[in-house]
Amino acid sequence: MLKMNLKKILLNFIIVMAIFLTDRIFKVYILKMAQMENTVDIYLTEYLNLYLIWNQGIAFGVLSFNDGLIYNIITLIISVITIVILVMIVKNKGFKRYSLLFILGGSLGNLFDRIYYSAVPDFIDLHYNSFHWFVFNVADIFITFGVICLIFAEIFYKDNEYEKKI
Amino acid sequence: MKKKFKFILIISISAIFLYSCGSVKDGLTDNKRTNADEFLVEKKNPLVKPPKFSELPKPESSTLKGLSEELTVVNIEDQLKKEISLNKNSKNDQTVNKSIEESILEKINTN
Repeated sequence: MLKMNLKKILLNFIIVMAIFLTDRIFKVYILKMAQMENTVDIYLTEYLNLYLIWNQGIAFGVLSFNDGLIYNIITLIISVITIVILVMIVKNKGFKRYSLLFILGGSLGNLFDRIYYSAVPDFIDLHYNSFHWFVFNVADIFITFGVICLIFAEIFYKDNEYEKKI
Repeated sequence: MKKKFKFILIISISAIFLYSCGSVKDGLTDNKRTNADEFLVEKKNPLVKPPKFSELPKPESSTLKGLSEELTVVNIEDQLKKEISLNKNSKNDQTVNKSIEESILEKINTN
């Protein structure tokens, strides 16, 4: 933590907050629409719809149970992973750090919904004809982008550079 | 190399927890598309005259004449006059001096 100066901390905080707020704006907009019309099912383009569903589980709707205990355990695991990512941000530098910031911003967006609404609203429905991809949200986009960047950095970083960074 | 693989694996597993994609049931099934989508309805062509419009037979005037006759029969004033004349015939001695209004009221009361 001491290695990071105040300017860098502020920049990282702004990036995370920008991602978090972008996600929140979209979610609030969709939820307002759902309040007014009871349901959100909007045709945008031939390949993209807005369709609101609530996810209580993790990725791909896995572990979606009505049991409160399981839900709390999952939320706890997600919170721990988010803290670990925060620690990794402090330890890493450059491209890897920015990738982790994207993951953290998205993670906080979904974690907020899990605590506030007890479920995460998903509304982006990509499809080709009758084949629908999993319905996701803006936070998921940032997490995916961050994970892809992180894997890319991990593969193409040289081993000695990796040792130095860690 | 092992470290890299391990790191990617950990990140991927962690990401599964952080993601919040919709369930397979909601996302992949076609249930939600059973309702009609008004945006997918094909646009109708503009109204145009048929190719042999001038050759089409003209509507017959006799049918129109008959229709107009029927309409003239259904005239409230005539009906009232008929009713009054009927009343006059049946109750000639009583209703001679009665006004139209009185005769109508009487008719209503009888019904």
